[in-house]
Amino acid sequence: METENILELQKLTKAFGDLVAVDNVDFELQAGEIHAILGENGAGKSTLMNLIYGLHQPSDGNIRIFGESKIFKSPRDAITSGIGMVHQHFMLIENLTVAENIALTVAKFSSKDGKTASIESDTESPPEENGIPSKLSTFRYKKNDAIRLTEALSQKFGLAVDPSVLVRTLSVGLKQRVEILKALAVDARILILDEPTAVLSPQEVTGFFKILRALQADNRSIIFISHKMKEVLEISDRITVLRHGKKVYHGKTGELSAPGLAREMLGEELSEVERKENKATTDLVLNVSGLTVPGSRNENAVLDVSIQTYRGEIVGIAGVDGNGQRELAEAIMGLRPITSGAVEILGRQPSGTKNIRKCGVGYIPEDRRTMGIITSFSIADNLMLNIAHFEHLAKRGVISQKAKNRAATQLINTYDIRPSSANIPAFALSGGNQQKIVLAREISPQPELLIAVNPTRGLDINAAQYVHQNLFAQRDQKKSVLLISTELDEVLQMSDRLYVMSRGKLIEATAHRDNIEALGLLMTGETDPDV
Amino acid sequence: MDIIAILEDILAATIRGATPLLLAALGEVVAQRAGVINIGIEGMMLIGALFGMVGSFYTAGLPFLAPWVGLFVAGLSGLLTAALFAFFAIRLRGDQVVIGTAITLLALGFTEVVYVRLFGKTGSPQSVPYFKQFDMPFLSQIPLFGDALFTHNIIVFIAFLFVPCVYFFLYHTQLGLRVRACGEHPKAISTVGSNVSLLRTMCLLFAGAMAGIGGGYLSLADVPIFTPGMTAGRGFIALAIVIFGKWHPVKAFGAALLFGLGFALENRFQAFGWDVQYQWFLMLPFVLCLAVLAGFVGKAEAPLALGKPYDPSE
Repeated sequence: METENILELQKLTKAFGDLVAVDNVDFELQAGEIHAILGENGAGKSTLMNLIYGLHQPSDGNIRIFGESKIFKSPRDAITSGIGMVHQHFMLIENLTVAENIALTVAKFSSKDGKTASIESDTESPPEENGIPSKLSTFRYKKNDAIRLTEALSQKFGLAVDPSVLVRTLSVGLKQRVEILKALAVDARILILDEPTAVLSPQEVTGFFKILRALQADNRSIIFISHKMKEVLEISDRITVLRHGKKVYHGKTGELSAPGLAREMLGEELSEVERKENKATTDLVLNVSGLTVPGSRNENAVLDVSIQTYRGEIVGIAGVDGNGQRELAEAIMGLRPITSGAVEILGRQPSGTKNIRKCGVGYIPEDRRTMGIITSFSIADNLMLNIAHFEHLAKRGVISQKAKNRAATQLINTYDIRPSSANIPAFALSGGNQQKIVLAREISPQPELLIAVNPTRGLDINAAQYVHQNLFAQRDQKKSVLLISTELDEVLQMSDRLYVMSRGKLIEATAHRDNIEALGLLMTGETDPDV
Repeated sequence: MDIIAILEDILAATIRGATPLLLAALGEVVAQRAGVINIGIEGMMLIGALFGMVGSFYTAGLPFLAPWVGLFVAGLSGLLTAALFAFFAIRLRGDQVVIGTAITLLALGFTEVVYVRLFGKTGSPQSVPYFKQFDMPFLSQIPLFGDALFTHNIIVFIAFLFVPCVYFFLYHTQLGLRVRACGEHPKAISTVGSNVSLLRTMCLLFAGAMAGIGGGYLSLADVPIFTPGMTAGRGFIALAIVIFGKWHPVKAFGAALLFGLGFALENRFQAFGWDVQYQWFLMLPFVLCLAVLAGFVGKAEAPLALGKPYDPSE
């Protein structure tokens, strides 16, 4: 079967200083194809896409689109050539309505037919088909035109969304829909989707794949970037694997099985950390009862939640981002005021984060860069941030530099933090090594209870395994671990008991461990998965 | 003085007091909507006040034209000051609060030096041709408050006209939509092909020109003299108006009137000759400012990217 290539990358290279992020990569995309790009974090997937989208310019090599060789100076050039991109972090303006977000894109590109977009040029009404404006005035913003245009688009592509609501009130799945509409509004023939399923529940993924199939049937091409093997195997026609900026594999989907692809991604065989059968004790560590916590908009982010953890077990909480997991963790840590309910740790009710930590609680917050570490501080200073370390090293509040460096060096060696120098600022480290700082700081004081929120987010497989090993080690030492994660696979793999959090409520789901569908229903707010 | 006359008097004074605040605040609304917090507004007003007076002074041979020249020069000087701000804040991505403070401090010294250089240390300030009050035909004849509302100098009416203009711009033009988006999520609009730096610079220049004109009002209307430091914190009050007005031109108009009332009462109370030290009255607008911002605003929702320099490579 010979189909024409609508996009070709020839020996594309991009170097940032000494670092070659994309190294001599060839790639081709056919009309109406879903082409997956697999790779670890830092494999160069995002850089490659940014080259195609005009956010970066290649150091060497060629981009050919519809048979023409082109260099995109900015996303604007890419968009006019028919390329649309849905970024992993949405490029939507939360405080504007859906229609306004669409209008922002459309107005910029509504004068495709040779006429330049000048502010004065277009004051008369734009041409209309059946009362639907096919483009928007470049001068006036007319609310009703924008709404009608958005409605027409969502009807045409079967992507239902209310045009007149503020984007910030939409669910993540709907926001993604708006992003896709935005690209389709300027008639993108090639859609780049960067980790599009990272934020979706299993049910939403199913719906999302339906949309992709429909777009494919419309002869649009899709570049699907992901590190989730299962999804890639399900949706794509062809797969390209990147490792350290180089293309290491390319072929039709199905030619290589999941373990084979993993080997290509990592360059080595992987030893899965197996969940060992485990006996929890009956020693209660954390006892949360009837906890209600207000969120940032004064809604109830956590609603009447009760949960217990015992020594020698990992309790997992799964759920889609933004369903109150963060607020729950912060409330347990005393970082957020609670409306009602109680948090008991080892039979005590300490108040304030300092006292809670003194009870022996470690905390791995969800975002290491904003909450876990201070990026401009050195490794040593970051390691010392925990109160447990301060008390050992400080005399009357003065930290001995010698003792600090000695302690830091020891932790750096134990937890294999690289580069292994105590005085390097934390921002110079990779995500995995930054997370190791957090692990070293929180685990080394031997906490009775460890609360870990998304501890492997953004880490590559090896770094993630290291985190998992450490959590298992805590459990094996008869400590208690509360793991809150949006990665369902991780929660399933790690936890002895399992909960699902949805819209602030917590539902015990250990019984549904092997039923992904039921878990998915729970995650989307069904209370009874057996319906 | 009967009560109607007093109310009329206070109303007229409120409008006069609100005008320079409104001009500066409207410019600032646009700048902040684009994501730039222009703390230098006080300095830009002061520079506008000086150069407005200077412009009028050197064209005093044409008494009808002179105040207009002054107003133009005032706006231009404010715009150029904003260009300086833009160079540091947008081109070099400096900290906007530090740059704004520096510009205000610079303006304090600069205006005094220029004034003394040009006019020497005279005992009484120079007086220049200025905008005189005129009666709006018919409207000022309306009984009761017609006179208080419609007998003013021309800038007052121009300032009021700017309210619907800025509103229309922000909410009913594509460019205005882009400005609002720029203050919320600059990266998002740059990925659809807009130039964030250019957009912000244009908004900032507009804010500078408006602040300059607001300053020019002080030295070209009502009391047509320049004295060093004569803006007396009005730039900062304009900042408060933007917040109190929730970054919306029409609400900012209301807020400007409230603070105008503060300035009006300050003057009237002094005139009543009560046995109270006059400094208490001078404090009035600023106490009002504090009280309003502390207590009555509620949670103000600023543009999300306000004050954050935009770095496209991030």
